[in-house]
Amino acid sequence: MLEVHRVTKNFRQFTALEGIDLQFDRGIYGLLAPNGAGKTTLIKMLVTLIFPTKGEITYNGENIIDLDEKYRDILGYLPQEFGYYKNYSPEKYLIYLASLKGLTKSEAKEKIPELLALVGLKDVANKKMKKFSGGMIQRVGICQALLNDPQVLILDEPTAGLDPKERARFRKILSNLARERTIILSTHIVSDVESIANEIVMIKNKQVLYKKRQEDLCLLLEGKLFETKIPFEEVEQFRADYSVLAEKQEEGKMMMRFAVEKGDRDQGWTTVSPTLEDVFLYIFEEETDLTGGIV
Amino acid sequence: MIKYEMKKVFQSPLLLGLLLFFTSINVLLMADHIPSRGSVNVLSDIVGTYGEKATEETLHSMESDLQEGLVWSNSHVEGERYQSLNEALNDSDAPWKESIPQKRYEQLQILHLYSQTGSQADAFYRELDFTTFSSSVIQQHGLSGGAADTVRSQFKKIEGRKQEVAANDEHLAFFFHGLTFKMHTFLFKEIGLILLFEVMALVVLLSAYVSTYEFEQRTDLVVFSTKRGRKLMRDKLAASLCSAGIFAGGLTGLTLLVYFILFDYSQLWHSSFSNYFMRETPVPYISWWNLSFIEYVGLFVALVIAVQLIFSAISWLLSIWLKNSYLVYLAFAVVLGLFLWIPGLVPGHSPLIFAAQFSPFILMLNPHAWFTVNNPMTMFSYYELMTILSWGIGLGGLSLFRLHRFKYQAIS
Amino acid sequence: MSVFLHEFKKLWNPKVLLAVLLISLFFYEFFLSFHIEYFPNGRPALDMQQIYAEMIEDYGHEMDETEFKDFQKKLEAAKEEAGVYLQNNDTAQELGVTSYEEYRKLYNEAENGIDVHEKIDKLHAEIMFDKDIDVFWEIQGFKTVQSHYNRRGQWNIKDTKYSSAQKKAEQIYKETDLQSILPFQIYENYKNLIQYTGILIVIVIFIVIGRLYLPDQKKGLLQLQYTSKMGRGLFWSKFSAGLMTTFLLTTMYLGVFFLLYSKNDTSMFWSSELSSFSFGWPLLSWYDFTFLEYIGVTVAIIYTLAFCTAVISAMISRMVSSYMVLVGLQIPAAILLILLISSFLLVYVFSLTNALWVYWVILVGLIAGSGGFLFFRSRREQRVDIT
Repeated sequence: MLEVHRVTKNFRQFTALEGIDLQFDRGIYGLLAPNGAGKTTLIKMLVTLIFPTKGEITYNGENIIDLDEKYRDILGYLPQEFGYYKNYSPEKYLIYLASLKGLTKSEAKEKIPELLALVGLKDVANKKMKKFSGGMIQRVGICQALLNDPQVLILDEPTAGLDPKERARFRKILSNLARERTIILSTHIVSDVESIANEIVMIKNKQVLYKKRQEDLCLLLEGKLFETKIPFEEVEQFRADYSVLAEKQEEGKMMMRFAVEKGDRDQGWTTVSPTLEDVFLYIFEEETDLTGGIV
Repeated sequence: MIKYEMKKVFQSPLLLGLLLFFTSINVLLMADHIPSRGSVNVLSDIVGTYGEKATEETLHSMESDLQEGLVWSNSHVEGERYQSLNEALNDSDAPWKESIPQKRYEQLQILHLYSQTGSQADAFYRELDFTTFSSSVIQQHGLSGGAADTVRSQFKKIEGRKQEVAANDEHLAFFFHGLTFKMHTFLFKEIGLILLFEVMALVVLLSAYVSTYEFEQRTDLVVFSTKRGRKLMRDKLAASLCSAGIFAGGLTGLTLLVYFILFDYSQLWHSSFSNYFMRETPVPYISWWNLSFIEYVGLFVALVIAVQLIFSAISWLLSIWLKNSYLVYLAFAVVLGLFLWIPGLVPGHSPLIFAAQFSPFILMLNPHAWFTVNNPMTMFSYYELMTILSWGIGLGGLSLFRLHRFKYQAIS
Repeated sequence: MSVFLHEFKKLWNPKVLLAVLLISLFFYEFFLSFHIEYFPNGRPALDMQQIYAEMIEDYGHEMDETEFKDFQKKLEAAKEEAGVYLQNNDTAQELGVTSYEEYRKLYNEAENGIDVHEKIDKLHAEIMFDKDIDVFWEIQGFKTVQSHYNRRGQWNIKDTKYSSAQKKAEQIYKETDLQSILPFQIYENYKNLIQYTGILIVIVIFIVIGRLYLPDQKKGLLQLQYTSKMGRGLFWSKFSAGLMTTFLLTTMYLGVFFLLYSKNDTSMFWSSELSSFSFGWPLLSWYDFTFLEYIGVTVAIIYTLAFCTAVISAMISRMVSSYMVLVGLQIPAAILLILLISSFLLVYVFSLTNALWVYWVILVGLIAGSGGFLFFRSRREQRVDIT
């Protein structure tokens, strides 16, 4: 059990996170927030790259800073961007990281081909990484995070650069792993977590806004989400009156998807059932200008 | 665009810090000579009183003042009198020295020194024959064949120049007494050489910094795909050269400023460079042209800057190739070593031995002999200009070629 | 251990090593080769070297007064040999010179311009340079050694600034009578060589160890490295790889140096004390070292310098985030170290030129300074934010 207790992080004058409380048990957690909300700050604290200004983070009741290498031994981490040696092959690179992770050479030799096969890089195991595409590098990154068979797996934007097929494969890997592990998946791509996350954590204004199961989150908009078609001339006015979550052109008219908290409902509106994406857009409405214009 | 590139240099506290660090090292170097400052600076008064050249007239009036000095000295002596000032000054255990004002005594001593030296000048240049030096130079450097012929013909030219010096009375211009104070060696060899190396360290650093900036900050993909694109590398060359020039001028200027504040050259700016007083070795310094001291300093500064521009261009070329400033630095050190080493390999019979001297790295080693006839290996009147021009043109061509290649080079 | 090996391997980067090798070769060519290829440099230095070597053979490592009498006999024998040569030389006959003493007297006293002067000058040039007659050079050598021995301990120290050193010099004179046979030229030659060797090693360590931390940081590897089990302990793994590299490089360079130095063939003097009659008083030592012990001291100082340089370079490498700043800080640091080397640490170290405390303050200061630097950075390393 990984727990965050009243954690605040300041960078000089600037406060990135304030009084965060969170618990992570087994399963997959999706960390959803727009860019700049403090997601990466939280993750860097969870992996001990930076330290809380106030509060503490514990694993099974012990502070992760005091646990030191005992904690990092069960930790797997894939950063948003990570460095590698251009002239190394994935195998050589993973051997290096395995030694940092305290694996013996024979353990590493056994584990690395397995993992490379898992992410579909078996054929290029001995090719230099300087010719790799972004998606291939990202898959090497996933391999390294899994090297030490971690109990806590923290992934920052893991699907960046992966094509749809690879994404699907990746989601399957995660689902399999999640049975006896804690997996924290930070992303702003809603579809990444939609199908596999058990719980969603949303961060807004330096604080945790929601930590709920997906279904519970969707309940927030249940019965408040509608779709309707309007002529183009009315679009401007409509946008001003309602919180529009999505719009698209259809048969010479504009199809609007919007939420109404309370008040009258028009007969022409169709009630639709909300998805995670709707909830995300609704919650972070002021940060994301849905009309596609520039704020 | 060049402005933005140069900003990178001038907003770097490190480069400015290094500039100050080197300046303070140079000032420390000057501190060694501060004790002799008093006697050095006396010359200004002498020139102020007697004029700029040790002509017969001047020497005559100096002589009469020295006679007065003798009378003055003798007034402090009881009993036996000195017949000449020479005798008085050289009497190491004269009892009267302690009873007279030291300042006046020292002035007298120095006046005597300059007067003596001045009176020897004409005879010295008459006896000096450069054509006789060729054989010893040929032997010393183990030259033969075409190389030896070159030496002989050059010494003939030098002899001509010497006669011109004597005819112009260039040799009579007052200057700090070289055999006593060694001010030329001090300024141009000790300080000058260190200065050149310091500026080189700065220039390579800043050129490599500007030129590898995008590769090291990983902005290369963004920057080289903009409208300006690959032409930015040309801007970087221009920015490197401009900044190198400014830093070279800056450090040289600061150093010379402190130097000329400490040592009084105010009356000597227009003294001929090729004078007899400055002589520190059996052969006096003679410049290829009739230069005043200030003109010589001006040429010196210009050459310091020109040499550094060459180094800057070399660093830029290395940067475009290696794309990592640390490797550029190492590679530059290797290039430096290589070009200092090569001339030693050329056999002594080949005139190529002189061709190998035409390199900015060799040029840098002998700043005290710039524009003069005094370095047997580089005694060509346009040696400095030729070196800078040939390397400048060569590097210019190479740079254009590299720029063209860079245009079509893959950046990943 | 295997992390250590990985880090160690990364330091031995072929491109950098090639550059270092080339730089070292040039450095050897410009600063060191002369003192090996031209040692002893000319005559009578060469003759003195032989005379000294003979002295060691005949008298051991010291020459007392009775042995000195024997030494003078050799000088006399050489003079006689020279006399025989002169008696068989036509020009000498013409000048009426029959002995070495007469020859010297005439050479020194004949006035410029007169016929005799010209002739003796020509004779001198013929003997010394054209025909290179050994015995005349030998006599010069003998005489230099003789005068050094005769004048030992007769110093004219007026400067009160050196009072403690002066007292020490007097004490050494009283205790040893300065009988040790150790030629100044050998001591000087070693100084020149070891000084530049030390400077070269410092430069090489700066270059190689400067790459200890920065490249990984620039490549963005820290996030993965610092979240692995090894974590921030990597700082020390890398550091020990750096120290190991420093040790190996220093040992290699010193090994090559002593191999080259063996060409100078000075081993017969190794057991001689530094209290030699051929030194000026400022070169006498605060400690009664033999030459070999002195060599040992310089080697120890080079290792100390190498490790201090490694620490300084490594810490700079950890703290900066660009190669320009790395080089820009290494340059002044290297200049300061080289100044210390060439003014105190590797030029007649522990000689009376400076007060004894000067050497120790510099050494202890260097060790404490770099040690402190390491201590503070390593403590900070435990809690620094990796952003």
